[in-house]
Amino acid sequence: MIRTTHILLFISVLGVIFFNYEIKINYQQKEKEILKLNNLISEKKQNIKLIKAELAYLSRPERLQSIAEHQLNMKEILPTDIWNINDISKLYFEKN
Amino acid sequence: MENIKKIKFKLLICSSSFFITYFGVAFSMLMIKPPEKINKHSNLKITEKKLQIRGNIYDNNGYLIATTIRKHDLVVNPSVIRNPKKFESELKKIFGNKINFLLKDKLSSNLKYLKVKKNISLKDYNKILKIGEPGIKIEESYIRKYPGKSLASHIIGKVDVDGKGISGVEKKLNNELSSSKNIHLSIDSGIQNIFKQLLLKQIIKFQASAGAGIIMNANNGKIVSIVSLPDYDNNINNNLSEKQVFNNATKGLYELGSTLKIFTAAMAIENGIDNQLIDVSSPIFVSKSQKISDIKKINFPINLPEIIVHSSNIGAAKIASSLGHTVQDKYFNLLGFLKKVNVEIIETSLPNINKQVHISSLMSKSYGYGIQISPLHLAKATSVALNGGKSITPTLLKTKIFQNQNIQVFSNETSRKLRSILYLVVNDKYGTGKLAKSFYYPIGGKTGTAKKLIDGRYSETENIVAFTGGFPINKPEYVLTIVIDGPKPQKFSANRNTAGWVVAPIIGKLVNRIAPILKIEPINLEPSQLGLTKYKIRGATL
Repeated sequence: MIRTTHILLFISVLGVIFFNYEIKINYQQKEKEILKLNNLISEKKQNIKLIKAELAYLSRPERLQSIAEHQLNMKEILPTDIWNINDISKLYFEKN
Repeated sequence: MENIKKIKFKLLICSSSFFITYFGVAFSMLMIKPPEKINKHSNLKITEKKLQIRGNIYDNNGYLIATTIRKHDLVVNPSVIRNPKKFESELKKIFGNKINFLLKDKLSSNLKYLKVKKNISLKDYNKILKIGEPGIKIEESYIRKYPGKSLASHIIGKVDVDGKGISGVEKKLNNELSSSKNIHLSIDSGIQNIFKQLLLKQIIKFQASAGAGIIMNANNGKIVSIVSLPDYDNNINNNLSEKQVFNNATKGLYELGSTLKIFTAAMAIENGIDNQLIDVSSPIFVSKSQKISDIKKINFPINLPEIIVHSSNIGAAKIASSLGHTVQDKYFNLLGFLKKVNVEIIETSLPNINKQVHISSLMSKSYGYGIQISPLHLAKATSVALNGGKSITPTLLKTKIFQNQNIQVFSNETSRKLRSILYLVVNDKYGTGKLAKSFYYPIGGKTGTAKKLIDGRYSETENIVAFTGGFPINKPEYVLTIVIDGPKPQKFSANRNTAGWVVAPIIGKLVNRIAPILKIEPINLEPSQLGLTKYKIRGATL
């Protein structure tokens, strides 16, 4: 009886050892992956930053203004062109 | 039997030592070590890159004003290049002719380090690797970029080659920025652009040498725009003249002339001497060489609103002389004229004030001579005068918590009277700032034309012209201050180069364009509905 339990214990210890070893190898691999991914993230973040800078460069007010002046057939906005939602609704109800 | 026992004993030793080593190795393999240790002992060169990249600067609406981006430079080691000729032609295939023409000689030389091209893309780098020459390397570096170019040059400032701030916000907030914190400014890029263009147009029109302008929230001191012209592109590091880099708006000191009469008037109202009539018909001789006179001669005694609307130097001088030095110094101190303005840029100046205790100094300071202040000082003081008399602290930050309580410099009633007078300067038919009028918003302000001090003498031809005021004047939300340096008389301005002709015309346009952006609705009120005192202004000749 003791003999069989000893054998069973021994086998289970071996199994646990093997299992643990597997976990360790996995863990190491995941660590490396995390590092790689983190570096990739920082890389992508840098690229995003670059693209955002480019977007800001393209949407700088000076440039937008000159494009608007040359491409759009529109007049400069006046304060009277800006309407309050209440005024519009009032106008609408007065008409009806 | 004994032999068997010996063999059994040997076997036991062998097997036990085997088990000990076996389990020892197994155990060491099982130990889970922290990742740094794994990397140190293994050949894998994966390490986490932890760089402190300088923080971004954004404007009030989240528009990116300054950022740090990574760039790749192509570097080769010419001493190990086998076939320079072929390598050069391959490089030309990739980059076209945008490459240094001396490259061939340099590539065949014995140099160890040669920067071939700055800022290449990774796609190009892969192509270069395929050429198959040894000694090709890529270098990573970080560069500060300002997408808005010259949008807010003087506010943002610059960084040196190491990425440390050397001027403007970059320097003042260097600690925050270098620890990767982003800064959100109260600046509005759109308004900044409109303001700059209007001011630039006027400077060119009047062949002036420089200009400066500030738009600031009158109630909490948040600066919406600071313009100083001439300006520069922050991305360019060389060929900048001192004049371009100089911040006229916060560092430049000017005698701002009649704009300072606002504060003389405020002092008079605070001290209850605003109801008397003052005779301004004859010039005052303060000394043998100095005489205070007016351009417009007024033959009858006038009241305080008329002194301001007609911009009478004699009137202001007489008020100052009845107030005295102590009162003037006290209010100059409360308005912040005796110290630097503490704002988030380093370029600020200590005002230059004539400290002489003499009647001529007292009188000249009342109408803006003998006191040199920056446009920012004037904008700050104007806010105090218009916002109900509360002192404010100008700031460039979107969110800032003020520890100290606002001090009441002037009473609310004084401020209301001042607003009524400044409204008339712009809207009355005799006002000096008539051209500043807007049809959509009530504006109030004061013009100021001062003779320019050149080498210790007042020039007869060169002027410094200024306008300071607020809108909507019935309940001021924003203050604007503009100074133009050295406008020349023009034919279309009837040969005049005074503030009423040079600065005032852009005020109305500016307010019409920026007020909707600042969420101020047009005000359709009769002058009597504005809640201002109606003063009657008489013309220069009755």
